[in-house]
Parts: sequence; structure tokens; C-alpha cells
Amino acid sequence: MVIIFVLSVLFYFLVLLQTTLLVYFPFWGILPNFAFIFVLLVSIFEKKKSSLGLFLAIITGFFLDIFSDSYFIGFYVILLAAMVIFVELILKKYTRVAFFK
Amino acid sequence: MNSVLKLKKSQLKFNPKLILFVVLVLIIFNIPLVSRQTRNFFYSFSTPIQKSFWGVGRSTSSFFQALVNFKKLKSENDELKLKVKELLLRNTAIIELKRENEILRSALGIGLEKEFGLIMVEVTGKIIGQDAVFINKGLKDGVSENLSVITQEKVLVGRVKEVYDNFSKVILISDKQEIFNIEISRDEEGFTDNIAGVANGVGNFELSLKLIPKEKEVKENDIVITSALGEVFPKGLLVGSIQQVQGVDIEPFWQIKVRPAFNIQDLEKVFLILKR
Repeated sequence: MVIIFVLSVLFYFLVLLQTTLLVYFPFWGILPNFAFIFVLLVSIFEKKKSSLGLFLAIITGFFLDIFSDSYFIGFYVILLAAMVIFVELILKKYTRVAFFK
Repeated sequence: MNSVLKLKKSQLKFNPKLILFVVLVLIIFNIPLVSRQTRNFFYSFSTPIQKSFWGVGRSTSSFFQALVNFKKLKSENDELKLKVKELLLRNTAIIELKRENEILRSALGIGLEKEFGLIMVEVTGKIIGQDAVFINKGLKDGVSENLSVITQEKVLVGRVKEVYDNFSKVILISDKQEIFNIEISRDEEGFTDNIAGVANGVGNFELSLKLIPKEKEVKENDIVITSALGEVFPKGLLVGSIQQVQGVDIEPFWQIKVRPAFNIQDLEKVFLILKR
């Protein structure tokens, strides 16, 4: 639970950075969504039976919904959760990569 | 032991009941009143942090831009000095014309148009996934929807889209949802007839112009200003300058890209126009 809390706070600040500091540093005119990228990385590198990625997807998705003009609160939650589930069920199950244990 | 969340050492076990719980929570958060209050709470809580990050971003960005553009700085500085002299001369002529205009108006009994009432606000952050920004004033400060937003130099930035108690969302003119009437003007002798058209945001801080017939002569660096038609924005606000003009043979209109006059990275304090 401590891990979830700490990561939630970190991702909250990441979303705030996404709306402020990172706006000044686009990559060739494009601003990537770093919250998405980091949730994806956590879900890829977490242990196989862990659900940390999914919890982070829900929490980060909620913050993204608050600080964006999404259609409804829950849009990014569903999107991120679907991405994490895809990684968990498909990528890790059917691909052979050394760091998936 | 039917807890929603089961913990086992350092691992977290996922319980299907969690899905139901999350869905219920999301449904509650989407009730309009709860949604507004939740957003308002988070914006209130986050504003000091956002303001700090926004300020840090500006100064860091300026520092790196100075390093990168070091070589160009001197020539750009010389060009700007010449431009300033030219504008000062022109300004003197405009002041004289304004004075004559006022005298004539009072002689003919025409009332002067009232100046805009303005509210100064601060930009606190950008909305993710959209050309829109947060500002630090809302319902309690007299902000309402569709108020025009301009910079100190009367450059058009956008309009207020959503208003919360203490915050508002401003949609920029470059957003895909924005479409408004404009005029193209040129500071050239003999150019007397402004060209009417429509500006459309395309996202990523870019604008395009539509419905400009090919019979009209349009050049790069022509000035684009708001027109009185449509009544979306007040007339005469600077939108930007023409960046590129392209013509496709089969189409009767030019394809024009506009460079907006505002720069999101320079937005700090802006003004809301309260009345026309």
C-alpha cells in the first residue's frame, strides 16, 4: 500500500508537470504523454502476478481525466487500464523476453 | 475475508470486486455536481504547484532558447531595433489621426465606443490533449463563459469555455473546435480593402484560413485580425500573420496557414474582456 501511495503521489506530480513544465519542451512540436509512457513501463517491468500497473493505471487515469478535457471522468482510466491489461495478458503471456519473469 | 484488496507480501492480488468498486466510483464522479466539485477541489489544490512549475518552465525554456539561438540574437536584435524605429514613426502618425478622429466625432455628435472592461488573470497550466489552458479565476471573480481572452498587446488568445468556482478553462483559438470570422489586412499603400474569411483551429497551436477566394491577392506575412461578423470575438484583435499560402488547382479557395500571434510559452498574465 505504501508503494501505491508513493507512486500515486509521483504520478500526480508527473501529470502536473505534463500540464506545465513539459509544455515548454516539446519534441519536434509534439508533447508526448509521459504519464502514459511511465504507466506502460511499470506494467511491462513489474512482476508477472503483480497488479501494481493496473492500480497505477486507474489512479493516473483519474488524474489525467481531471486535468484534461476528456469526455467523462473515467475515459483515461479505461484507456490506461486496457493498455495495462493488454500488456499483462497478451504481451507477457505470448512473448519471450528475458526480463519478463 | 472478502476484502476488496488482498495483500500478499510485496505483491498485490487483483479482486474482481475491485472492478465493480471502480465502476461505481466513476459513475459517482460523473454526476455533474460531484464532477464540478471534484475538479474544483483538485484545481484549487494544484494551482500553487502548477504556477511554480509554469514559472520554472518559462525561465528554463528562455535560458535554453538563448543558448540555442545565440548566434541569431545579434542579427535579430538589429532587425528589431529598425522595426521599433519604424513603428515609433508610425505611432506618431496614428496618434495624430486618433486626435483628429475624436475631434470629428465630437463635432458630429457621434458617441465614442466604450472601452472594454477587463479582468486580469494568470495562466496556470495547459490542459492535456487540447489547445486550452487553465486560468486562476472563476465564477466568484465574475468570469462567465465565452468571454474573449487577450494579451496585454491585444493579441487574441481564445475564449472562456468552462467556468468553475475558482478556475476556468480557456480554449485557445488554435483548438480544433474553434472557428471564427477574420479579416486579412496589409500595411501597404493602395491596400484598402480587407479580405474577409474564416479562421479554423487545427490543433498543435496552428490555424488555417478558409473561404479566401483565389481572386484575392494574399501574401505571406499579411496580418490577420478578427472581424465584426459572427460576433464570436470583438473586432480588431490581432490573430496572427500568414505563414503559408498554397493553391490547389481544383479548389476555388486558397489553403492558408496562419502563425498565431500568441505563444503559449509566453502566456503568463492575460485579460478577459467583460463587455464590448
